[in-house]
Order: sequence, then structure tokens, then C-alpha cells
Amino acid sequence: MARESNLIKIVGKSNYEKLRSFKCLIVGAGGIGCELLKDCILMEFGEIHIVDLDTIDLSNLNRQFLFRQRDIKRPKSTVAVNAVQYFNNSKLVPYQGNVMDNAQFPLNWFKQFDIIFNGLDNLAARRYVNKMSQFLSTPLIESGTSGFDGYIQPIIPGKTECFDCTKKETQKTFPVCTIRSTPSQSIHCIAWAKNFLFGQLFTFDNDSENDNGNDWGTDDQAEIERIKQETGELSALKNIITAQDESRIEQILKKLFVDDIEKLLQIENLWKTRTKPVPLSILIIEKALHNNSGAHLNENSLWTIEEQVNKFIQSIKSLMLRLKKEKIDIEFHKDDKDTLEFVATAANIRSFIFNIPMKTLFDIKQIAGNIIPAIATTNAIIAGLSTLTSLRVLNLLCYAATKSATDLNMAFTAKASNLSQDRYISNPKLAPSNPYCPVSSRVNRGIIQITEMGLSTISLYQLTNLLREKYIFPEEVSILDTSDNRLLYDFDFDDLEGKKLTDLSLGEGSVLLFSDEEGDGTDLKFKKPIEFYFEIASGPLENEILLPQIESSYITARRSLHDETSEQDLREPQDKSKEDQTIILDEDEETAPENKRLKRPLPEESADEVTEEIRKKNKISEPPAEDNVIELD
Amino acid sequence: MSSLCLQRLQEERKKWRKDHPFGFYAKPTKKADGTMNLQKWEAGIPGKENTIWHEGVFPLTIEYPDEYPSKPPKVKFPAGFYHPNIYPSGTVCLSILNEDQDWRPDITLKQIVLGVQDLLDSPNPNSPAQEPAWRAFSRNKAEYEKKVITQAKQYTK
Repeated sequence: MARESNLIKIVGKSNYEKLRSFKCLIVGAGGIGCELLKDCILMEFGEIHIVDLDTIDLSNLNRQFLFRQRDIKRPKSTVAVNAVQYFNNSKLVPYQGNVMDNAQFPLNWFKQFDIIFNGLDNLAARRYVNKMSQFLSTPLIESGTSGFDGYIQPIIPGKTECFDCTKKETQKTFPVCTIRSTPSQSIHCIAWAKNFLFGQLFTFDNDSENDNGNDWGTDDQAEIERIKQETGELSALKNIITAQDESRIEQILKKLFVDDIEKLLQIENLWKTRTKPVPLSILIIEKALHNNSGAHLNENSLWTIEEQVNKFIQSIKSLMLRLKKEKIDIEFHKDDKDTLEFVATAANIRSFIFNIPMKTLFDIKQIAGNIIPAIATTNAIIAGLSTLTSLRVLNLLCYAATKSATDLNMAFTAKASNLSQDRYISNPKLAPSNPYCPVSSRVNRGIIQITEMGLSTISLYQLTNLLREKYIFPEEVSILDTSDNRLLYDFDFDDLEGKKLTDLSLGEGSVLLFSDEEGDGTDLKFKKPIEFYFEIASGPLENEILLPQIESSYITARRSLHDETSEQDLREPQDKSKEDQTIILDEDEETAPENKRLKRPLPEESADEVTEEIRKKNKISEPPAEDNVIELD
Repeated sequence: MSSLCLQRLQEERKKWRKDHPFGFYAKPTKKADGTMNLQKWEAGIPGKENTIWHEGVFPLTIEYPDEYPSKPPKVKFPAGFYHPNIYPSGTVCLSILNEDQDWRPDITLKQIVLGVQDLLDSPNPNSPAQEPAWRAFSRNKAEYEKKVITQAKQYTK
């Protein structure tokens, strides 16, 4: 029986024909992307285009099932496409490149697709594809996974929430003093070993990280002085490293794990509410120094403190040797055994001193390498949901017709949401777009066609006037280049008016935001800003430029700036479990001295400017924050 | 940078242009290509009248992170600025600028600069950020005031 017969049973003959005529784009050929590709082929999309900028890495093979050992270092997109040929019945087009590269992938290229699937691993690209989908009104199915958790979110431009309608979580950093003086969790010790100690000892150009403006995170002068002094003393230790003087490794150990701790103990204020650290016993150090056996240790078992010290010494020796041979900075990398062992043992010895439980090498590798375990099953489930949902997005199920976009469902795992403990997947209906979303609601969009000639002859002044006249904007306007984060013009900034567009490096793919800064005089109503995508015209144009027809509309000024971010409050108590696995450094700090900074009232008028208007919206989960996450090795 | 960050900064500029307190200035810095960088501003904080700070307009840099307005901007005087609650690096220590304390996404530039102006003449001795000014302020007011006046002259209006 042919594969399509089942499909035809599900969608019907005519819808099957439609499906065969559809073109879809898969962004990313990684964990989710491989699954999506397989699913889209089995669903018999007419054409499937797949983009990925990456090459295959050994660590991908456990779940990116289209890749084999022999494929390592080859481009993901093309290898994936080759691997599926034997069961493929669609036209497949692979691209190796960055989807945000507007030279390779201009808006015009995105136009050909009926639907876009995201299988991405970072916020920037998600935001970018989201914006392209908004420009073209092309439906997008956004997805992501993190460990056992995952979500899919269909995005129907103009009708449902877009990727930027909800706030995304950001990473936090620890105050300096927690890392340097008062660690209370193993993550603090790992950060100390990896971000501070390792850099101090094995890289050549490290200005003290605190002189370039970092706060100390403490107001205790004695403590600040101590931190500064310690940094100075470490450069002395580095000399031992660069001199490759093994006989002085003892000094390093004593300095880091005995003397510095004793100095800390002298600042009594620090220990009023905390458990005092206990300097490493000299006996252990001596013993380890005389023990040259390089016993093999299992990375999954917890080593004794003696073994930690032993390994620490060995790793310093190897690193010294490498520093001498290679004569360049050594960088921490989770797959570089020497650096990992150095960081792990240093962190564990410090943990031991501060009465914090030690961790296995394997655990520390995950934390220090920002690794979130990527689970093949989760990816398969999420990609499956994504492709199945596309049938409804494309309205191909006659018995479940999509009457309104908000009838569609998103889906996320229960753990990602905390909403329900007794089911794995929740699938609420999509919400309409957030009326304050700067991407989907508070902006109109259009494409400006321009010729090369136009770019080199039209000045910013002329462009501003053309736009003002065409869309009937008032005198006070501004032009922001959102593709390059720069302000080109506003009422108080006309320096660049005389420049031609090419002089401002504007061209294919530039995105300009044109805003009304004046309003209707009452400051309540403004012309809705327009975001323009620049496209080089394929043929000649009258006046060298063609502005799109855009229905003029107004937005009302926000009563307060609070509106646009108010969900933050609703969404804060989200999945805390993630933080156990990742280095999202988001834990509440203990009430250390750093929290005693100035409390002072705001200037008076602030109070009434803030109107608490929390929009009642679906409390959907945050997509797992995958930025800066390296997948499991 | 997210659209939210960029559009919010544009909003801040618009608001500032239409309404800012007397004697203050604030403008985005310029990039090498002559365009404006909305993520980094330069501002001037006048000392309040009838205080030892009144002769100066103190330069401040305000840097907005990509995560703004979820995260607060970083606000700095020149390094070594003499004030008990300013870190040696120049970083201003103010609860409304601290993500873990009183920062809220709706706090405006105007509120920030007014808050900083307020801080100048009402330092908090219980929360020292630098040694010299803090010591003088708590133990030798005469010396403290002399230093502040000298510094104000250095940044005269």
C-alpha cells in the first residue's frame, strides 16, 4: 500500500493534492530539525527547504538520527537531505547558511513558503524568523525543547500571539562577592573556578574584571580590599605557571585553599550568618604532592577530597606543559580534559572548604559547559506535534476545520508550565496578539522596492519626506534602522539628512522603522509606526523607488510604559526546575551584604505614572530559554 | 537587541525631548558612522541649588543592556567620582538601578536622573561604595565638603 493512501484517508483527496503543492521551510537541521524533516517527508509536502549554518559534531549523533560518524564536519542541511532520500517523495532543497543573512536569504526568498517550521536553538534567530513571518504573513510554527520539556507555538501573523508577544527569560549573573568570598552553592564554586581562577592562571591578558566597572556586590570595604589584593596575588601564581615550575605547585594550593580562606575568615562580618569555611588541611596537600600515582577515576563517581587534590595537581602539570608548548592562552572547554579536570577539581576543593556538597566530573561538565541534556524523545514528540499541527494551520483537516486562528492550539509539556502535574502535555488555544507587542501589534509593515540608482541618489531627507507625504505623518518623525540598531533621523537629529542611502549603508535587507513622534497634539494618538523592508527592485522603477500601500492607522499612547511588560509579573513563577540543570544563574541570592544598597524613594511623579494594568492572558509557559545552551555531549 | 528594547529606547528619547527637568541633558552617543546609538547615552546631572554640589553639572553615562527594559541600565559617573555611594569605577549604587531590588521596567530616564541628582546631596553613610568619600563624610564633614566643592568646580556648568 502506498504511503499516501493513509494520508489521503486523513486529509482527503483534494487536500492531499494541496499538500503536494505546498512548500515548507524548516529552519535548523539539528535535534528538532532532523525530526521535522522526516515528518514533513512522511506528510508528503511538495517541497521542503531546510536551512542550517552548522556542521555536524560528534555530540550530535546521539539524537540527530540522520547523521553518522562519517558525516562529522559536513554541513547538517545537505547531509540530512542526502540521508532521507531513500524514503523521500518530496522535492528537497538544502542550504548551508545563517537564516539571518539577508544576502543569502532575502525576504523575497521567504515569500515562496506556505509555512515555516522553526527548529532553532537561539533567541536572535527565533526573533528574526518571527519578524520575517510577520512581514509576509506566513504562518510559523515555533518550537523548542530543553531536556524533557518542550513546546510548540503556531504563530499566525495578525491573528495570534507572535514570538515576541511574551517576555523571554534572560540570564542573571552572580554578584562578584558571592563568587569570590561567600559561595553557598556548587554553581558558585564552579563559576569561581571556570570564570575567575582559570582565566587568571592560564590566559595572558586579563585585567582585573572589577576595574572595568563591575560592582563588587558588597559594600564591605574590608571585603573589597581583600578581593583586590587576592587578584594581585594571583598574578604571582601565574608566574609559577608560566615558569613551569612544578616544585612550586604547592604554593598554588596553599594560596588558593589555605591562605585565601584564612584571610576570608578574618573578615568576621561575612560569617555572622554563614557557616565558616575550613581551610584545606596541609596534610592533604602534602600527601597529594608526594603521591604521583595517576589512578584512573570514574567521571560518574564522587571522588574523595584527596583524589580531588591529586587530580588538581595533575591537571595543573598538564596545563603548564601545554602552556609552554603552545605559547598561547588556553581556553576552558568542556571537552578539553585538562581544563575540565582543573575546573572541576578546583571547584570541588572549594566546595569542600565551604561545606558545599562536591559534584562528579560529569555533573560539573554539564554545568560548566552550559549543557542542557537534549533528549531525542522530546525532540521527536515536539517535532511530531509541530508537523501535525501544521495540518490544522494549513486547514487541511475537513473534520477539524480551522474557523479562526485562535481555535488552534499550542502545546507544551506540563513540567514546562507547572500548570498541571498529572498530564504530560497541555494544549491551550492560541491567544490573540498582545496589543502592546512591538513586533506584531504596534507596527504596520511593508516592503519598499528601490533600485540601485535610487539608493545612490535618494537622500535620507528625501526619503523622510516621501514617507511623510505618502503615509500622512506629521512633521516630527524618526527613522530607526532596526536591522542595525541605530537611529538615523529624528526631530533633534538631522545631521545625516543630506546623506544618500548608500552612504548610510542601506540596501537589500535593511529594515527601517518610521515613527510618528508628534501625535495628534494631545499625545494620545499616534500614527502607527511602519516598518519597511528594503528590497532591490528587479526591474526599473519610476522615480527609482516604490512605496507600498499601507492602510493608515493609529495607536493610542500607552497609559504607562508598564503595559508592555506587565506579563512579567504573571510569568515569573515559572519552571524553576530548569535552573537545576542549567547555568541560568537565576537563583535568588541570599541576603548577603550586597543587598544593602540604597533604598530611596522615586521622584514624586513616578507613582501616578504607573498604572497597574496587568493583562489577563493565557498563562502559557515560557519557551525554554535555550540561548547560550550547548547541547549534550 | 530585541524590538522591545529598541522601541522603548526611542520612546525614552521622545519623552525626554518633550519633557525633561531643567538643567539636565541626556542624549544618545554617536556611532562611528555618525548614526546614534540608543543603547549608550551621555547625560549631565546638575547639583541641586543651595547644596555644596550646585556649581557642577556632573557627566553620567547610561548604558542599556539588550535585555532592557527587563534589566536596568548601567549608570556611571567618571571613574574615581567622589561620593560615598559611588563605586571606584564610577558605578552608581541606587536601589532603583538594581535588578534584584527596586528596578521596574517602567522606570524612565527622567526618574533615573532625578534619582541620581537626589543621591548627590543625600548620601547614605550606611551603604558605602568607596572608601575616601565615605570616610570623610562620616568622620570629617569639613574635608568632605571641601572635596565636593572642588569636584563641583571641576565640572562647572
